[in-house]
Amino acid sequence: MIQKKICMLGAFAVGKTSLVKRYVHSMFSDKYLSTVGVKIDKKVLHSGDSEVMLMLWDLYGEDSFQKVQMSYLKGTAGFLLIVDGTRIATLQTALGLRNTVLASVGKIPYIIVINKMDLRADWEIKQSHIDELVANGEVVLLASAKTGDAVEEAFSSLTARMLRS
Amino acid sequence: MDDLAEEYLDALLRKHWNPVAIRVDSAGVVSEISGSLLPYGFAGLAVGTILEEHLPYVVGLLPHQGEPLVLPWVQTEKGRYIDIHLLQEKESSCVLLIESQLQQEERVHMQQQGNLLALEQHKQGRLLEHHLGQFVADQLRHNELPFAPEGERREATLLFCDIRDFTTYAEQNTPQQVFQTLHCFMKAMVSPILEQGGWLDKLAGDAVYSVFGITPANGEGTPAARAVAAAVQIMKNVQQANQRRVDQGLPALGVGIGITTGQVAVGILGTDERRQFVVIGHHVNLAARLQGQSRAFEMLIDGRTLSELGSEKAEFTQRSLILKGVREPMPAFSLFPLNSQLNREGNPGRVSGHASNLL
Repeated sequence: MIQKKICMLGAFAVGKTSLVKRYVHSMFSDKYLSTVGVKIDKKVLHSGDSEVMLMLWDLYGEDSFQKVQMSYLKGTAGFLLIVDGTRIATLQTALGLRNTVLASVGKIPYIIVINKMDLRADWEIKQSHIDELVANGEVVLLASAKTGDAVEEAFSSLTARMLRS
Repeated sequence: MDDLAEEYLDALLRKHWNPVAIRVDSAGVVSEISGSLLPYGFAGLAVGTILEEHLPYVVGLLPHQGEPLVLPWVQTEKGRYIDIHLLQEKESSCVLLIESQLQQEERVHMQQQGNLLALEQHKQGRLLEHHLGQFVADQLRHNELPFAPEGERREATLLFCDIRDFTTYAEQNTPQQVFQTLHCFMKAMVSPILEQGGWLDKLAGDAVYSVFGITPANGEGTPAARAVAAAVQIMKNVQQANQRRVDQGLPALGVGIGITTGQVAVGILGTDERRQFVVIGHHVNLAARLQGQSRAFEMLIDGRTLSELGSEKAEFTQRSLILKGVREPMPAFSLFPLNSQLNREGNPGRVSGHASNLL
C-alpha cells in the first residue's frame, strides 16, 4: 500500500483538527481545543487503482507567538492550507505559510480550503478574494467541517494530485 | 561537571522524561533499543522489526542524514506527548524519544487561553466595525482615538433622530413585530450617518444619537453639511422603507431629526470592564430638544448649523420654538426634505464618509 504524508497547515482556530476529525471519524464539535505540537491520524482511501494510506499530520496553528516549524514538513507529499472564512487575516497567514513551505520542501501539491462554509453570512473573505486566488492558479475549495461539505473532496483531490506528481 | 552531578542528572532525565534510543539500519530495521518503551505503548516494536510500521511519525524521514531533526510535541495514539529527535550515526540513524507530558499540560493551557483571547478580540473588533465603521474601530484597537480619552472640548455637529409615535406602536404590536420594525428603520437611519463620516454615539430604542466632526471623513464638506446630508438621506430611506411596509399591509411610520452645532466635551467614560464614548454639553441637550419638537419627516436645525451650510440654507424656513429648559423662544430652522429642492437635486453634502456599514 502506498503511504503519503499530508500536513494540515493554517492559522490557529481555522478548523484543521475539525476537518481531520470530520474526515477520519465523521465527528464534529463546536468546542475549540487548541492543538499543541502535532497529532497524527491515518485513513485509507482508494484513488483510481491505488490504495493509499494517508498519514494526516494535524499541526498546531500559527499565531502571534509561534511559527510552524519546518521540521514537521519533512517527508510530506502534499498539504492542505486551511483558512477561516470569517477571519480574513487567516488568509494572509495561509499564504505566508504556503510560501515558506514551498521554499523549504520544494514544489509539492496543495489545496486551499476555506472552512466554515456554514457561517457564510459572516465571512470576511469575499468572492473577489476567492476569484483572485483562482485567477492566480490556486485550487480553492469552500468547505465546512461542521456540515461535512467538501471535506472528502479536499482530501481525495489532494491525494489524486499527489499521485499524479 | 563532576561525576556525581552527571549521575544525578541522568537519573532525573530517566525518571521524568523516560528517554528511549532506537537505532535503525539503512533499511529501516531496528537494530537496538535502549530504555523502556512501556510508557509509550508502541506494541510490537522490537529489534528486527521495521520502525515505520510501529512509529508512523518517522515515515519518510529515514534514513536520517545531516543535522539533528526535532519533532516536538508529537501526540501519540494514547494521548501522550513526546519529542522525537532524529540523529545521524555512521551507517545508521538514531531515533530518540523523550516524553514531554509535563511541559505539554502547561503549554496547552497557555496556548488555549492565548488563542481564545485572540478570537475574542477579533469578535469584539467585528462588533466595533459593525457599529462604528472600520476606520474608527481600527483607531480604537490601536489606541489612536481622534480625541483625548480623558476629555477634550471640541466643535461638533450633533444629529439626533427618532421614529415618531414608536412607543404607541410598540404597545399595540408583538415584540417580534416591534423588533422587526426597529431593525428595518435602524438600517435606514444608521447607514447615512456612517456614510457621511458620523460617529454613532448611541442607539437608544427607536432613537439614534450621532456626532459629526470628531472622526475624520473623506472628501469635502463641513460636519454640519454632512449631518444635513445624512438627515436628507435618512428621510429618503425611511420613505422607501414605508413604501415596502405599506405594500405588505403594515403601517407607515414617521421620523424626526434635530441637528445642532457647537462646543461639546468628548471623552471616554466607564470602568475597566466597560467603557463608552460620551458627548456632553448644551448643544447635545439642544439637539435632543429640537428632535423632540420636530414633526414627522421634519428636520429642525439651530442657527449655527444653518450658518455652516451653502446654498441649501435657502430651503429652510424659520420657526420659533419654546424649548424645555430655555426661557426665551428660540429660533430654529425647519425643512421637510422630501418636499424640498434637496430631495429633487440630491444631498447638499458632496462628501463620502469612511464607512458604509449597515446594522
